[in-house]
Amino acid sequence: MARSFLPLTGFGPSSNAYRLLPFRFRRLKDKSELLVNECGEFIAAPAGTAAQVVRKQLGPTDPLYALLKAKHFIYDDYSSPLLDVLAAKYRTKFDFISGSTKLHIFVVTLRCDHSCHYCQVSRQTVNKGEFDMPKNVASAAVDRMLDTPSQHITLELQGGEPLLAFDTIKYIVSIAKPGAAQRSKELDIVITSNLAFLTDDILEYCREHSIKLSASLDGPESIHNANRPRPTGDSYQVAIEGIKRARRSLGSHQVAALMTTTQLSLQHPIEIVDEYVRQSFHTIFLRPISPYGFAVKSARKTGYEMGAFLEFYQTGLKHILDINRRGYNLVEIYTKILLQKILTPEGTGYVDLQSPCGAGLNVLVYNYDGDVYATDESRMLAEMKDHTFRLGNVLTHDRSQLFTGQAFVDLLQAGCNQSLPGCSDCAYQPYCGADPVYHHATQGDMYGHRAFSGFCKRNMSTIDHVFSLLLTGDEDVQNILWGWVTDRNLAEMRASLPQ
Amino acid sequence: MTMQFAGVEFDEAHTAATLRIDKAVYSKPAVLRACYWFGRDLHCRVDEVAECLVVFLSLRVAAPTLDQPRIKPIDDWLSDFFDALLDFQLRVEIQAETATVRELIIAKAFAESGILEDPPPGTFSDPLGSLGIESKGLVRIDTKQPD
Repeated sequence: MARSFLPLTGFGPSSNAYRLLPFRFRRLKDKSELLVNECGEFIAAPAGTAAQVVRKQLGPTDPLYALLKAKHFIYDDYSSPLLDVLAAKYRTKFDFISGSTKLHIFVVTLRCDHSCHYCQVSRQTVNKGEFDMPKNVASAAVDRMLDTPSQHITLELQGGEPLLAFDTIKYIVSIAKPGAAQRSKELDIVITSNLAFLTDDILEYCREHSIKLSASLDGPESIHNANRPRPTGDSYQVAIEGIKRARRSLGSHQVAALMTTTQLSLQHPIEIVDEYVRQSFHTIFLRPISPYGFAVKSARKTGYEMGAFLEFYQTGLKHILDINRRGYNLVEIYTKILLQKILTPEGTGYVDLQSPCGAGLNVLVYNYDGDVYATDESRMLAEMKDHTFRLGNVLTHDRSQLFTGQAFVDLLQAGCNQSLPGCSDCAYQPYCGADPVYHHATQGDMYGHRAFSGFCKRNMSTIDHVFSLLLTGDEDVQNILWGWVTDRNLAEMRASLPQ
Repeated sequence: MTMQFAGVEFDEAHTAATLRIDKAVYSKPAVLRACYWFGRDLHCRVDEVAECLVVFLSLRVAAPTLDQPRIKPIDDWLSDFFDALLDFQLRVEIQAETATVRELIIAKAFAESGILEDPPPGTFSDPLGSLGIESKGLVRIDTKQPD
């Protein structure tokens, strides 16, 4: 197809009225407005801008006019909507859908020696072997995992405490690795553990098979031990010793830590962040407790309002930014995920912030008994006798049956924030998710009412906060945040700026 | 400071208010969407009476409780409510004007996945199909401005 430049008049201001492209807007606390287009590109503008744009009150010589055209908020006679470009951007944002399920969580046992109040797994005592995953179930679950079209899959082995069923882990790895190689798939393997049963033999095995370890670390000793009680009262000590040994054996990059925020944690954001620095971690994930499993039963000990968590998050994030300013690179993961969605053309693989929701599409959970759930949270609900999100069983359902059952269809229908009441015209819709499992658990309705939703409150407030940092933060804060999405520390960001 | 709004009727205790909204200014979807977001704090009922939408707002919690020791009077909700009405009316107008082009963007974005029987119309040089080339695709874009 031959193409040529438009005539000279095509590059001048249009005398005709412009037309709108899809966008959403939100009033910010500082009285400015945020305009966000269908692909998540944004413009911060003075109050009243959205009304001016919609009422066609902007003239072609207005400085904002060119910006709105360039960022695909409006078009006129001399600028086609460039639909192919917009479509390509849109498709890029949804790349997470391609290949289907990437994360496969195997619950190899429900046994655990810890008795955490908020435990999401409804653990069984250490000697109850009937709660381990049998070989025939493990084998069928590996088959379902390898049936996924995705070329890059992650196998996460968790419990209970998965190291209590290490023979099961070895069996799963022994069939998953050659199976993946046979299908030319890349396979990452992660064990999520409290590290209490870590031995040299286990470490050697992990080293040999390039298995990563994800450890639980809730903060300093007093908080960790209180959150994660163990008969010997030394859960912190064994976790820290395990982390050190794992790093020596596997390398620091193979060992990560994950925290859960309890009512006790809320009072100690600074101490928790400092503990992660003390243990030389460079990432921390400030995440709220899930309203499932024992967390519901023990709500008086662990539960809290989302407002209290947001205060905890903002205090923690401020401290993290200060730590970065002082030269230590520490990334808050949730903020980084949001920044990736706001500042880059790409989506993310983070299940909770996906629409269509990542449940099933991007994660599947294989319980010890072969039941398949759409998310780990779905399985926790099942432990509370709510089997709404049970997609099937690996022994009786193949992949197509798992994805065509009513449970998955219901999830998908309620899992697109593009069409949910309250979400469909929200400016933050391109950055947010839907999470039908959360709304089912908290409101008894997969669709949920956003005005009552802790999920909505958390994300609206957090994205508001991230934008306030991006738009009004000082130069160091902006460099730190940009550094998080470009994998550079503050010094590297400063050095990259023009002198 | 509590603002005064003309044409708003209050109950004696100022725990409820009745608003008459001109349908020529605010559409029903805009009013309903605004009400949706106040559902946590206010009961909202919308009736249609001739040229008006009558919105009845009342406090969900009208007397102090241990959970909510301070009550925000209904008067103080009104400025937020009117702001929301303006915003949602704009959103309705944006959606009305851009619905077709949005459909086309999404159809084009996923056309390569093979789920459409025909590729959607529009090319780089003729994105709206406005040059008169007849397309038989599943999705068509209407260049006519909404009324």
